[in-house]
Amino acid sequence: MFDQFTLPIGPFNFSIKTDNKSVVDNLLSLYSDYNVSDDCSFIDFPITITTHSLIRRFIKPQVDFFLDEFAPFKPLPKDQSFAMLEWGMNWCITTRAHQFLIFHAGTIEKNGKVIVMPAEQGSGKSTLTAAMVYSGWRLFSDELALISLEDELVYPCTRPINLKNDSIDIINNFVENAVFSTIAKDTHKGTVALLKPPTDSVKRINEPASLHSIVFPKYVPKVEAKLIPVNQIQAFEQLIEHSFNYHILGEEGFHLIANILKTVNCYQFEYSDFEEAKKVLGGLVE
Amino acid sequence: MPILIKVLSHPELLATLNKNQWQILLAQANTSQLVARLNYLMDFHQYEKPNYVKWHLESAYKIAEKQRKQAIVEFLEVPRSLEKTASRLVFLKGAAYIAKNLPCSFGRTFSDIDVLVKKEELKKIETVLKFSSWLKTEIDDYDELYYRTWMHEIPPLYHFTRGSVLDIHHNILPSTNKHMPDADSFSFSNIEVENVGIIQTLDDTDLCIHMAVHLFTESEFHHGLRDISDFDMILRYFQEQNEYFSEQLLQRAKILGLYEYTRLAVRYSHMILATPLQKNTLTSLQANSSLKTLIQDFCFIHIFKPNHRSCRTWHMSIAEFILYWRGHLLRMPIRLLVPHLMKKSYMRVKDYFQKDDIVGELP
Repeated sequence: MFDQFTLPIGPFNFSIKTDNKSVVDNLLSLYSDYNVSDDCSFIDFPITITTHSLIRRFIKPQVDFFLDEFAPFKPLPKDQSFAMLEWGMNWCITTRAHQFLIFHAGTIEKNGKVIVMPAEQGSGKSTLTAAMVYSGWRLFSDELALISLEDELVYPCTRPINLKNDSIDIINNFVENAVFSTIAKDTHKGTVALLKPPTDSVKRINEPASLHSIVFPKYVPKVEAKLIPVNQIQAFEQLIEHSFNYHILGEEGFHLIANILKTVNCYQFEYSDFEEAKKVLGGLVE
Repeated sequence: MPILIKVLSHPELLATLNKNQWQILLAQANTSQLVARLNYLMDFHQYEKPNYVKWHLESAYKIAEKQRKQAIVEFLEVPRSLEKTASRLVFLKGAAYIAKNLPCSFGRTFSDIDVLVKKEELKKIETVLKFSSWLKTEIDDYDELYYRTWMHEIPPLYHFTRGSVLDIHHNILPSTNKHMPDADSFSFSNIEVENVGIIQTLDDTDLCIHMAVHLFTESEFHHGLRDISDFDMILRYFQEQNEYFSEQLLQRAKILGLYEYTRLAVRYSHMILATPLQKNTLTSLQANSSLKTLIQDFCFIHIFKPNHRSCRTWHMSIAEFILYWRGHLLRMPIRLLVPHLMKKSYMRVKDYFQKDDIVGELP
C-alpha cells in the first residue's frame, strides 16, 4: 500500500510516494506544519521510497530512492529510509535547480537580513543553525543556500534539520520540546536524526530576503565567540569551494558572486557557546 | 504516440501544451535526456515558457552549455598536446556537431569527446597524452583486453584537472563487424571554430553516415530517441540547404559500403519524427524482403520511444530483446559472442555480491 504526499517546499513541489511506514510516520510528524496536500499542482520532483528487490524486503531489509523512475543511489538499510529521503531531496535540488547559485551552507534570517554560513560536512553548521533558529532566527535551510540568479535574493527551502552524533543530544538539551525523527544509526555520516523546523519558519517559507553577510563558522572548544573579517579574494575562493553548481553556471555564477561581494561582508566565526553566538550573530543584523 | 515524439516531430505543438501535458512531457524528456533540447526548441521558435517548467528547461540547458564550453576547450587543448604526434585527429559525434554549430548540438548532453586517429600512431599518442595529464579510467583486465583485441577504440581517458573524458577511436566500427569500413575511405573536412582555429571533422554526408552506423549497430538503446532526434535535426538542417541531400547521402553510403545502416536511419527518422523526404526516396528505403521490413519496423518504431511508464508497452520489451541480439550478432560472430556474454554475466553476478554494501555517493 502506497501513501502519497505533495510537499510544497518554497520554490519546489515534491511528491513523496512510499510504502515505508517509518517514512510516513516521520513525514507526518516533522512536516505537520507544511501545507501537505494531495492536490494536482505541477510536481517538480516525483519521489518514491520503496524496496525494489523482493529479497531485500526480508533479508537485511533495504530501501531505494527513486526520482520518477531513476535511482541515483545504491539502496540503504531500511532504518535509514527517512534520512535517505532527506539526502535525496537535497540531491534533487542541487543537481537540477540551476536558477539558483547553491552553496553548502546553513542559512538563517532575522530583521529581513540573511546570514549564509558555508561550511564543510561535520563543522557543526547544522548544530549552530538549529540553535539559532530556535532562538529567534528564521530557518531557510541547514544545508543549502539558494541565491537567485534573477533577483539575487536568498530563497528559503525550509526543511527538517539534519543532526549527527553528539549534536543530537546537544540540541535536545538546548531546545525545549524539540521534535526529532526516528534515529538512524551507522549511516555513512554516523548516527543521524532530523529535527522538526520551527513553525514560524515553515509558515513564511515563501518569503525570500536579501543577503546581509557571509559567515564561515567554526566550532573551537572554549573559545570566546568572535568574528574575524575575511578579505574578498579569500571569501571568493571559499565560496566557490562550497558551491554545488558554480562549475555549471560558469560566467553567470562568477558575476553573481562578484556582485554579492561588493555589498556583503564576510567573516570567519569562531564560537564554542550558543548564548555568545546568539549575541554576536544578532549584533550583525541589528 | 508519446507526447515527446509528437513535439519533436511538430515543435509548433510546444506552444499549446497545458500543465498536465507538460508534466508528462518533462518526465519523458528527463528519461530520454531531451529536456535541454526542448528548451532549445522553445527558444528557437520564441515560445513563451510557462513559469512552472521554465527553470527545468533552462537548468538542463545550462548543463548542456557547460559541456559545449568544455568541448571547445578540448578543441584547443587536445590538438595542442598531439600537434607533433598525430597526423590525423578528427573530432567525431557530439564534438563534431558542436564544431559545425549544428542545431542538434544545442541542448545536447553528452559525456565524451570522441576523436579518430591513425592506428599506427596510437601507441605514441597514448604516451604523449599520459604526459599531458590524461589518465586511464579504471576498468578490469578482461575489458581492457577486449577493447585492445576487438574494439575500434581504446578504453576512455579522463583529464586529471579538467575532468573531460576522451574516447580515442582508430576505426569507425569494431574489427569484428562484417561491414567494417576502412577509416581512410571517410572524407574529412576542416572547420574553423571561433576563438580556437581550425580543427578536423567528418564532412557533412560522412558525419551523417557515421551517426547512422553507430545508432544502428547498437544493441542497447538507452539514448536511442535522443540519437534518432539528432539525426532528424541534422537531416532537416542539411535538406534545407540542399533538397537532394538525402539522396546524396544514400549514394555516398553505398560507396562506403554502409548503405544498410544509413537506409535504416533515414527511414526511421522519417517514420518516427516526420523528417521531410522526397516521395520516391521513401519507397526506396524498404528492406529486400517484406518480412524483414515488417520486423524492422516493429522493432525500431518501438525502441525509439521514451523509456517511461507513461508510454511503455509490451512491444518495447520484445523490441529490446530482438535488438539486443541483433546488435551483438552484428558486432561479432557467435563463436566470440557466446564466451563474451558468459564472461560478462559471471562478472556482473560477482560484482553484485562484492559491491553490495558500498554506499553510493550521497550529498
